[in-house]
Amino acid sequence: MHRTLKRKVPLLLLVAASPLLASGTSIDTPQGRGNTSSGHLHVPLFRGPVVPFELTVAPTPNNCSGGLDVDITWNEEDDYVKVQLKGTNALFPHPSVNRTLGVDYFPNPFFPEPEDVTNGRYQFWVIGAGGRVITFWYSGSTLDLLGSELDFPSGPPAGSIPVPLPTLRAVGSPFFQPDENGNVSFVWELSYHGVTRGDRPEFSHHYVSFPPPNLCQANPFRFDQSTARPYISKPLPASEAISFKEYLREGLLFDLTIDPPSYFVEPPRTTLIATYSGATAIGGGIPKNWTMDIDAAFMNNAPPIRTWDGAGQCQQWFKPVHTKNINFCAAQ
Amino acid sequence: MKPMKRTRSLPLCLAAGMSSTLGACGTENVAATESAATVVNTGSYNLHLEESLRFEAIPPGADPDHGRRLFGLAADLETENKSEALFQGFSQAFGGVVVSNQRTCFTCHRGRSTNLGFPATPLSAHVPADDALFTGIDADAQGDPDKLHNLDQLALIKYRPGRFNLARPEEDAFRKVFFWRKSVRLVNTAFQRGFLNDGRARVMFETDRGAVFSHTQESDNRFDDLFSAQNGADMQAFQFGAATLSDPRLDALRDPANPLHDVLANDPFYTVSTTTAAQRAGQKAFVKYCMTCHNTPNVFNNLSNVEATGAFRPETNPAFAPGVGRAFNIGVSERNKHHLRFTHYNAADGTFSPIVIQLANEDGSINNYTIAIDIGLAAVTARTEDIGRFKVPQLRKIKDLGPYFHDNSADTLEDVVDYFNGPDYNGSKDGSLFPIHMTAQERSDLLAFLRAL
Repeated sequence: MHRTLKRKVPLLLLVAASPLLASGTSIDTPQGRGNTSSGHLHVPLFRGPVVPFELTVAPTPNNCSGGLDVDITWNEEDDYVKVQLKGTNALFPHPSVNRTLGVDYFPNPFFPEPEDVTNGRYQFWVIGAGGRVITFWYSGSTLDLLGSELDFPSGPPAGSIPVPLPTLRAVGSPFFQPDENGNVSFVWELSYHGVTRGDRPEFSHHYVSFPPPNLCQANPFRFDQSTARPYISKPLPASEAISFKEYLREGLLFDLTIDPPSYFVEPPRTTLIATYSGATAIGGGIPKNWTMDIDAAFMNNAPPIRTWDGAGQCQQWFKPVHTKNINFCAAQ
Repeated sequence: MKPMKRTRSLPLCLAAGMSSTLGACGTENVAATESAATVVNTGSYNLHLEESLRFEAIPPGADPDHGRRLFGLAADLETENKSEALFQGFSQAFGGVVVSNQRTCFTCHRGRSTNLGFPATPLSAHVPADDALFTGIDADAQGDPDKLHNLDQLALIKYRPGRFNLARPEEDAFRKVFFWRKSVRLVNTAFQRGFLNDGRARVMFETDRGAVFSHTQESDNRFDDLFSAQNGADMQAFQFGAATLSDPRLDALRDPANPLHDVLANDPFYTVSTTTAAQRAGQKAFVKYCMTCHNTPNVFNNLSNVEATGAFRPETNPAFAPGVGRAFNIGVSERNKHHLRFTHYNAADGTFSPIVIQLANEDGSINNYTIAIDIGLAAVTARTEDIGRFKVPQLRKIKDLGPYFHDNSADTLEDVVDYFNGPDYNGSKDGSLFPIHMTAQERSDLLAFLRAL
């Protein structure tokens, strides 16, 4: 049905405008033009807009005053997507980030990552805000999370409880470094028809979600009351790569992570350490010094943006674990 | 299948966010419309909006007749039947027993003779004083002294859009924000992109659930477990079905496999019968002045939407909130014709105090905004640019759907047309970008056409 409609009503659009763009000065809101087949997006990235739970936001040079912009151009017919990052004094070369167990680092078997990163490298992530709903499996006895359908390709574990949850769809660029002055000029070109991981083209996207680690900690009606922790799937094989059109249709999130100089696990994932981020999945984008209210964006019961606690300071900042310590089994 | 020729230039104009002139929208000059892409007012406009004929799907297996019974409407589609329509009982989410105030959906959507809306004001001339509409008034008004006048005389209901956001404390300003809004008549509900006057509800399920929470009990507690997914699906099937369609042929718009689908898509006026010269001239005026926004063929609400609102994905995974359609500030809120009060009522001492919320300006600076009008979509997006923005309503049967605008501030179609032809619209934030200056003849013709819808 979807494909049919697309063919029959081809006039799609990507929209936005700003008086600043008209005047030729700096742009501080996302801009877009074209449609899902051919178009262009310009999104200014800041520290703080998209900060999932348990993410560390690293400081950036010049007292965090630099900026980074992403420009994405795509053309379905010519089968290309070009992602270009530009910034002046925007990133520290070869960054190192130290975290503390139990403070800003919480080991998670469903998001394997190192505690610290030394001599790191940068990876840019394009994230579709509407990955498919996938099934997570919970132990029938302990109610602990066992994994998702992607972790059990041969079928669910015996006696497990299925819980379908929405996901995000994420794909990473090749790694890169800024120059010695922190300037960034990075281009990632990829296939429109099959979006694969830039550093490892034998892989495509990951699914990311925030499942409860135990069903007793989950309120099915109140994400805000539920304990939820990050989950990232193994990358899907390149044979399962999807079109960039799907990413555009879902709405986009962007994240620039800091990863260790060699892969922490195989197949590779990423870290919960990042610098700049941005979004077009939230209408109008997320302004500087504001952040996405994930609970509200999911539940639609409050504005999806709010002021960012880390604004106005240039320090390593941590988004707390979404732990609510409510045992809903006990409540019964 | 050909694209929708008659509206071909309009999507590009809307793609510009806001065109600088209506004239640019009325041409086939793509270059001109693209240059207009660099204008103003992004607000919460979603970069992923598309002009595409797609609508929220009805979940498989949904039972529209059960939905009707849950709605509180008897089989005659005219009278109330509460037997299956009260959401009450023990709720774990609520933390106890929910006691209904006896309101049902019918309470504010009173049968097909009213197009599933309110009768004429004063409501007390048609609705008995012991009806749950009046006896349950504090469920939504919560003691506000303006409640009875605004309900009875203006048919306006108090809504607090952040009321059930229990993640934020009760004193949070966004939980205090409120509106006085009409009860939207349920005509062609199946074609909406974003529900309620401002489109703040992404999907029908959210809309129905919120109505049940807010109109049937006085607390701010949720009782999600009394409103099951199946209940929502059944109610959606009823509300998207024949009972609300202005013309049964329109149902084909929802199904690309229907032979009539392409006909309706290609000819935006296929189901509109224009028999007089004035009506035909009015149609031209409509194309010239109205279709930039009212551009869904044969329905005439706004076509822009994001894909992820249930049409192709399950309702459990909709787009990030809210921003699923397009909204405009045409100045109705700023006019505040009824002089509605938007200060917070303190029941303890009977005083009113201003509500101040933090809105984001486009450069990220904070706008500490004191609410004095209905702020529209900004209440749920927290963006300055969205103050006073509302979605574009459908127009079929419009002559029977008055009073008009979100605050019932235009009694007649003449009032509506004159509003758009006057200074309040043309001086408004978004209306000023699409100026309308009709001649007397165009006004007269347009009215004839609108009455034919």
